[in-house]
Amino acid sequence: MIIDAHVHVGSAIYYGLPLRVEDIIALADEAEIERLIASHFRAIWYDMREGNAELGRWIRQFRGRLFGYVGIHSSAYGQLAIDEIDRGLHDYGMVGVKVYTSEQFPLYDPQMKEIIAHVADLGVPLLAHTSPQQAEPVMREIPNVKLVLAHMGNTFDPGRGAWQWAISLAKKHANVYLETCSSSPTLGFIEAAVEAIGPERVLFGTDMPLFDPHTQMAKVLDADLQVSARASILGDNAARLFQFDD
Amino acid sequence: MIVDFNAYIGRWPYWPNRYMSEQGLLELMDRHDVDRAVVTSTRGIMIDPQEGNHEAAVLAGRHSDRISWVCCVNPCDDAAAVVELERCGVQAGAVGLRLAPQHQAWDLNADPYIADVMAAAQRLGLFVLLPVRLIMDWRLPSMRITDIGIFVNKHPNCTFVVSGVNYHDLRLAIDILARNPNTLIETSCLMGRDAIKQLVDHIGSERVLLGLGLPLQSALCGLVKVQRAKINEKDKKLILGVNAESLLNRSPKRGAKAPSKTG
Repeated sequence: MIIDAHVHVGSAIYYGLPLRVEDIIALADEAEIERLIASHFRAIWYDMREGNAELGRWIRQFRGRLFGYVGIHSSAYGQLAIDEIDRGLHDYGMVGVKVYTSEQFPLYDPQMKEIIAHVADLGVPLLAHTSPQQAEPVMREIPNVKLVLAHMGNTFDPGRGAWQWAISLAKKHANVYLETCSSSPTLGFIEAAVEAIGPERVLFGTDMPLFDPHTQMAKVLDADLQVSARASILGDNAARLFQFDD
Repeated sequence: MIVDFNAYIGRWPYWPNRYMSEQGLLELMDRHDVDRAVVTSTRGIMIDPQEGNHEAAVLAGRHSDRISWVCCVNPCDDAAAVVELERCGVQAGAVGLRLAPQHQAWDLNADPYIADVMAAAQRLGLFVLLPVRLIMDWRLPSMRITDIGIFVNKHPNCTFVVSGVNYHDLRLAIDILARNPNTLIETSCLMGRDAIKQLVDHIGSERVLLGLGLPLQSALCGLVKVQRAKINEKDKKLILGVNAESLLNRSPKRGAKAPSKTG
């Protein structure tokens, strides 16, 4: 089973991204991706309640196919953000939390760390668009959070794409997972991750609709890996992490 | 016919890459049925143009059926840059010129000697490759697409290949191509969904060249980008190799035997 651990739904204001959720499901059909774990653009960038509520409706509509991250757009919302996480997990049946950071709003700010500590207590994965530089102090302080490092550190902001640093971080912290989607089709970066930490903590993602699912999958298929490792990355690891027991 | 229009030889100083050698490049080309690679030496970009040009010319000389090469000069070398360019274009079989101001600390639109270099490139019939970046990694030195646009407008009689464009730059790159029929684009860093289709819809398929970034980037990823694009089969063939062959056939020489390095 192929599971995409990094998908967006809803509309974004740039890159000409707006796509209906049905279109994203159709893209996944073409790429034979069976399960999508998505956050709503609006929830991570503008209004968490609106975005998460809409995603919650779509999760019901595409039950068993579409799964959700509770999106949080700013740690400065403090307790409201924590309440929203609880609502998203309980009321909408979401399976993780998504945060988006920048140089100005880092993962390690004190309020974000309170939110992350809450996520760690809940035991659900946290998908973070962040840099390994920002994640490192957080993992030292909250080592039990299951942190999925989006793009494997290959971010424009923050961090400028330090995938080697991401691997080092995952080597030090057993709860750090590395997700593969990004602009960078660098030859060998997935092999380097598997060599350092094994295949079990590497997760396939596409970042649809920003990226094309076929090109993102090609990075995994082109990697010099054993068949079992490729299967782990494409789906088995996510199934285990997100407790898809069926 | 598959041609990688953005390939490299030489050392990769940023991280280890086990395919960064003559054998490694050819192995990846064979594995992915890439017929030809248009190669620049990273040595020429980052350290010494003459040494790098020699390295690339030697490679092309040994594999003239598979490798074409693009030379690199540094306008900060003043008159010597034109001498080196003429040597590469006339004697050594370079098919194009790559400019790399972001790696050589000069200004694309203000350097006092770049006009002489461009005049020589035009005289020699060499296309000029203008890279936003070498491959798609956000940490690498980059050049602004707006600077490329200004530069292209200043040289309407030269043929350009805009390289290393990703989604941040795509709209502006399309605008540059729409205004300048002498300009082409290669695809190695285009990672946005539907980027290839957007190019074809706006500027047609005839000026789009496959770029893979061998041996630094995943060839499969670069190929799938075109092969799965929602464009017709004829357009795919043009992009995968026909356009590149056509451009290379317009170049003065192909795969000439490498001459000895000159001082």
